[in-house]
Amino acid sequence: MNRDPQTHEETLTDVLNTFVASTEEPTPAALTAFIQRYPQFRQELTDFAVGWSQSHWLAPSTPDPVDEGALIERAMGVVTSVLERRQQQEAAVDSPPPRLALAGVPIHHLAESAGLSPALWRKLDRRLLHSIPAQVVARVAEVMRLSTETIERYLAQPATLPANASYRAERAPQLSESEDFFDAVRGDLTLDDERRQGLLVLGHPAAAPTDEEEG
Amino acid sequence: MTIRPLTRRRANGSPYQREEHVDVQIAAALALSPGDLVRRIAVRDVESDAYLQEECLVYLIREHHRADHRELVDQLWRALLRRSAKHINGKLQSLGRDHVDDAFGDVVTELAEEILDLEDDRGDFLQVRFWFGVRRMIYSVFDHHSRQINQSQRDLSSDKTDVGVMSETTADPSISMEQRALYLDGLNAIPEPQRTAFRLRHFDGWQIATGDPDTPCISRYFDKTPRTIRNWLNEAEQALRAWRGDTR
Repeated sequence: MNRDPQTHEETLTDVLNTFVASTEEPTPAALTAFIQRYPQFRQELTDFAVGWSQSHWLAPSTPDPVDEGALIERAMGVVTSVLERRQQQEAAVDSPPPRLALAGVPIHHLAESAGLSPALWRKLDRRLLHSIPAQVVARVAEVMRLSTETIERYLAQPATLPANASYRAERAPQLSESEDFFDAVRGDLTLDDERRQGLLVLGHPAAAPTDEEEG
Repeated sequence: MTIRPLTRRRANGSPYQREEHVDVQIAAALALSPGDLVRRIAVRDVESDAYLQEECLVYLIREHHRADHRELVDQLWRALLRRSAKHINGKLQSLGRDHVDDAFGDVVTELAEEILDLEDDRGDFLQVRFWFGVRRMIYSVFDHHSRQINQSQRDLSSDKTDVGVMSETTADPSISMEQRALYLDGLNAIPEPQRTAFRLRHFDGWQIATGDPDTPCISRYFDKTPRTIRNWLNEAEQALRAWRGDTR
């Protein structure tokens, strides 16, 4: 990850790496020099030096013969579990969200940020629209702080009923038919003319993004 | 194939740089077929031209992990661990049998986390100075486990040692090499935290107390009065005398 050299600050890990590379032993003089250089890590450097010294000086209480093969297999088990955990985390990050919603952020704020009306946002949330321009998907992804691929996967799922829907038991719930995005824009009376026109010129989902939206 | 540059920066803002010969090894390894690469990483003779350094193996693990070449990643990890697992385990032995396995797992976990995190460059140092990076992990983990051991031993013993006895050791913190060699064998006969205090004082030359906040001292490290530290040192000496069979 690139960082601005002007604002670069060394982390504790960086400092400890440098400390280890700078001296054979954690002598008080070497430790003092580092504490003076990095006073924000005074405690961490001191603790680290104690661990270093202890590992350096103390002999094994009872030296055990090491089965190197077993040791490597144990280490491989650890590496495999780290790999699996990372893959699970990455899969979770890539999974579509359960809703197009952010905790504590009202729908109309999300819609406004994406240049949509709350009604259009709700239809997207329930996956009731088709032929959605790529630019709109990109805006929603930005507002939701997710990738466009993730939002595309969300929108490709089956339509849903409203989260707070209630209906009489004797009537089966009905899902609305999928609606063309541009028809929805034309029929949305809450949009002002400027915003409506802005959405209608976005064109077909296959159309290239405008220069402005490419950024 | 282009070799990815390191992006982690030093305090002066300059990025870390791999050694030139490591870059040469990486370029050669990237040109190999998977089968040839597996044969190449099996070379253990450090004098051989075919030998790939640990820094190179770290780069290759990240590169093939990025490409999701799982079998190759597994082989590369095995090669790296064949070189490092015994060393790591050996450095942790003095924690004692009850702790060494957990500590070993902690070091390997940290190593794997740094190498496999493709979104972060914190593991760049391992492509520059692998063994220093590993040592940093060992000492950090050692300190963590050592504290746990100390705490559990302190919990078991009441703090009844503050009786104002001045240890003879405070007068002469430096000990001869012969004494040091002798004491090394006996250190394990000293209970914690007296052992760590004794070691810091006589092996590392720490002061018992100092008013300078930048200078390390045993009293501040343990957050105990200098008097308590002196008593711990005295107890450590008594334990050593008992270990030597000296009942004076």
